[in-house]
Amino acid sequence: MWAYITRRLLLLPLTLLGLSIIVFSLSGLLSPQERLMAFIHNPLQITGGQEAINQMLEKYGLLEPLPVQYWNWMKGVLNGNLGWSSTAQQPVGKALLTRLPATAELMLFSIIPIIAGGIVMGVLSAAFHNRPLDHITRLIAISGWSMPSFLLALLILMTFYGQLDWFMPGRLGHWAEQIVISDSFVRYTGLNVLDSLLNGRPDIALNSLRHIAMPTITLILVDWAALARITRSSMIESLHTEYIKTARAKGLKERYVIFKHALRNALLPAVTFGGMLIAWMLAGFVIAETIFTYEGLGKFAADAASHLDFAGILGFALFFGVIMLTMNLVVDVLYASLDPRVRLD
Amino acid sequence: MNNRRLFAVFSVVFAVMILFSGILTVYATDSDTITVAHIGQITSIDPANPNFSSNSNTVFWAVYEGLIRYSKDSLNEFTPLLATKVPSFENGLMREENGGLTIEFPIRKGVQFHKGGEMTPEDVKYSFMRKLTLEGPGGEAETVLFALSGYRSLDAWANALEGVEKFSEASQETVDKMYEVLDNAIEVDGWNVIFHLKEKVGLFLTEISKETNGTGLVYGKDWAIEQGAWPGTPETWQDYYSPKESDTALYSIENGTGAYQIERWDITTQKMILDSFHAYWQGPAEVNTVVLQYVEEWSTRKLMLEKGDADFAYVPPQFISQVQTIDGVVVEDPNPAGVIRVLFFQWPIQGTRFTGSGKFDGNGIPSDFFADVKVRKAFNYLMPYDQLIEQILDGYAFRIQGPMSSTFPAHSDDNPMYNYNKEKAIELLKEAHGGKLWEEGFKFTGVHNAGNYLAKSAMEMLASELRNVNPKFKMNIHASTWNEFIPLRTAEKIPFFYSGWGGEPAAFLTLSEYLSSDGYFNPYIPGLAKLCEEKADPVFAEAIKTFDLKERTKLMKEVIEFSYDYATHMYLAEEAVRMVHRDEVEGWYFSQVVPGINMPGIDFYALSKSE
Repeated sequence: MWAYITRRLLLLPLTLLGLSIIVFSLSGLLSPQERLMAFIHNPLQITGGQEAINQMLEKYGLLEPLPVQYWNWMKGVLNGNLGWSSTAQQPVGKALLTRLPATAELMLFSIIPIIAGGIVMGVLSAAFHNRPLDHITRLIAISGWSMPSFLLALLILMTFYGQLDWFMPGRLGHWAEQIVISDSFVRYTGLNVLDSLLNGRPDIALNSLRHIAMPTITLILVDWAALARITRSSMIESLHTEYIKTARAKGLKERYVIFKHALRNALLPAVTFGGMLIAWMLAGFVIAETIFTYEGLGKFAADAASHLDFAGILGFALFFGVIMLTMNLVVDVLYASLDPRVRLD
Repeated sequence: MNNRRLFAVFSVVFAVMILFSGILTVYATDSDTITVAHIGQITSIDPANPNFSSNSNTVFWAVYEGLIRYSKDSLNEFTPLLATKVPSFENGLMREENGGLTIEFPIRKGVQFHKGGEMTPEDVKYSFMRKLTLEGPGGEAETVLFALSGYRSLDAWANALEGVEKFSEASQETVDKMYEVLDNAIEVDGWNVIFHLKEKVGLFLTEISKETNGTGLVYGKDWAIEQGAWPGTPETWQDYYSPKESDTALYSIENGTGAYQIERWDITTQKMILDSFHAYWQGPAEVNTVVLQYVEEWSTRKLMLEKGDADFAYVPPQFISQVQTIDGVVVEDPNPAGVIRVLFFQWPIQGTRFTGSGKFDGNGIPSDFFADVKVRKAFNYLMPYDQLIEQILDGYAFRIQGPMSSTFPAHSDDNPMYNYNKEKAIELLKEAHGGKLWEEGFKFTGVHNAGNYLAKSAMEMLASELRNVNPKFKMNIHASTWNEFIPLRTAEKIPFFYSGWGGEPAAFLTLSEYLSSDGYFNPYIPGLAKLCEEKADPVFAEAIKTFDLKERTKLMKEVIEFSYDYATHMYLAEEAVRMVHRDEVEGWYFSQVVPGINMPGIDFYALSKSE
């Protein structure tokens, strides 16, 4: 297995190279003038007419052949410079790193409830097939699944912030932010809740929780529903197989049949979905981060794409590529441990 | 786990959540802080960075000061800031000398920088020099450079001296000569800064009085150099010229003299916190902290306003009714937004992407379609302006007489203006292009920027009117993204298009972008450029020389008449904006001079907030 993992890890740079070439090539579909627009914030910048435009094209190296532009970009990447993001107004590397903790924290808070809740509810729903608990679970899952995530986010905002005043948008309150940026506060991880507790500031941790609650609830409700439905279907199928009948015929307890025999097989599709969950959640991040004014990677990617900020798009593609490839590897390894028929050679 | 146990678990979780939230529901509205929930991204706060966005202007207004500023009560007057007097021929601070003009600014003493130290005339000189020397092509300090050197760009100047195409290619000897000219043109004499203008450019005071171009904003010389900004020497000039955003040392830091200083700018969360500068020469501001928070989602901004978490919020015009009934929220009277909405005619038109067959056969238009003034006039008569304002903008808009805000001094009741007149339009269309237009009909595509509801509606209304006049008149409408639009426009391929423009206090500049032959749009509309060269350029040339703001206003009225006579554009409207804020906030006033972030400007220094 270790040889397989090493081989996959060694292939990672090659895969990323391919990915970057594909994304970069897509930029070739646009004219240099169209790509220049990402650098123009003010019409006065091109008051000088075509001459000014040409000078700016030259300044940003957009007149070079695409392979030369790619090589120039790649040289920067190899030196740790992913370029300048015109939407984030920061170097791409910095833009990604400064937004990563926000999204990571959001993911950490939501992914455990999504996976645990989705699997548990899916299993219970299948175990109590066509009984009230199954109906309730399906109703919740279908509601979460079918409701547009932006609408759900707005409802959560209006309820928990507008009406109840329990939670609020943003990442931290003003007073908490002042403390967090001060020299006395040590940033260990960039995750507000964890860092606050490590700094002995439960009040800031609570403030952070109140801010992260709404985007977390949104993500949980949207993605939990999907996992619950997948687990349920897979579990129902599993519960009708011959080996389950055999297990029951042997007189095993139902709990043992479900959790020991059926669940293991039923988890395979759920593991696949779990592996893809981060990519799946990206759309949710965009919505949640935009509506709740929570600056993270999802919003950065969406902004970069809508403003043709190619440095930002490429940087994000590489960054996300690393995450996705790692997740795929984890899923493959998990598959092997869940299904003895799968061998990692 | 049976159903009952599951229900019990859910109940406990829910109860804990309620308890948890109940304990924490403590909210305080800080009377010492003003929070603005806006939608404009601040991109640079370096006054010399040629690529800053217009949204940086709000910050410039709060943290930086220039020598003089437009009076907030009258666009015909200036008021002194870091200078103690506004130079004029009457007070002797402006005088003709050696064939040029000398303008002297007595500098105010005792003004402190945010990072410490007293502002001196050397700081003033350095700030001007840095702006001029960093200025890339198409820069905002073009007029000032022209006044001091006689050249409109460093490239043109280097070209005249050495024959090189670009300033960056000039030899050190040329650079030294250019530096010497600028160095001598801005003289420090005791506590006076004296500008020696080579050209009598009346717009000089206008240019240095605006926050919107950063030309005259003053910051500490030593501090700037310490931060890695241009050291102020000719040898290093080319290294710092026309930088990318990432290469300007003062991109995200400041050391101005204004009433507020930047306490923190978190580019990631797009939040800027301004603190009152307690050593401000006019006395500290009443409100201690200003938070500028980018909040993209309207529902979030609305709730923030409702709950008092935002004191000011950008409210899109179509949602004004949603906030009018909220307790504690004030919706101010409509004011002109300063952004003018204009439709452009292109002649000649290149290519046939939007012109069908490219001839009069009912399926296209020829390249010179809009070259006939009768067509342009007829189109102007066919626009139902009042209907557009009433139905599309809910009545919250102002008619404009030319490419300028209705608040500009040149705007007056006696200026001519097109109104809807179907009969006149028919008469003109029958005569246009020798009657061929009426007989054959036409078909072309007008282009507006995607998502612009006003432009789309205006084009739809016009298309409908054209069809009503003659069923053979067909105008299609295409929504274009900015990335698609600019290259197409500069390639002169779009026959009829929309563009908006944010006005600024000097009506002259806005007018000249539209109506001088080398204005922003006109190099790409050769027919219009030729017309402007003949009819409007001489007036602009006269206007640029005069220092008398009233005299300049008179000349601008002549340009407006020219635009009307030749139907150069179709001036749709200037939208109204309504400032929305909490009622605890007092002191807000409307002024075209105060720049805003996609909403009316806020002079934070004038604000106070009750408990």
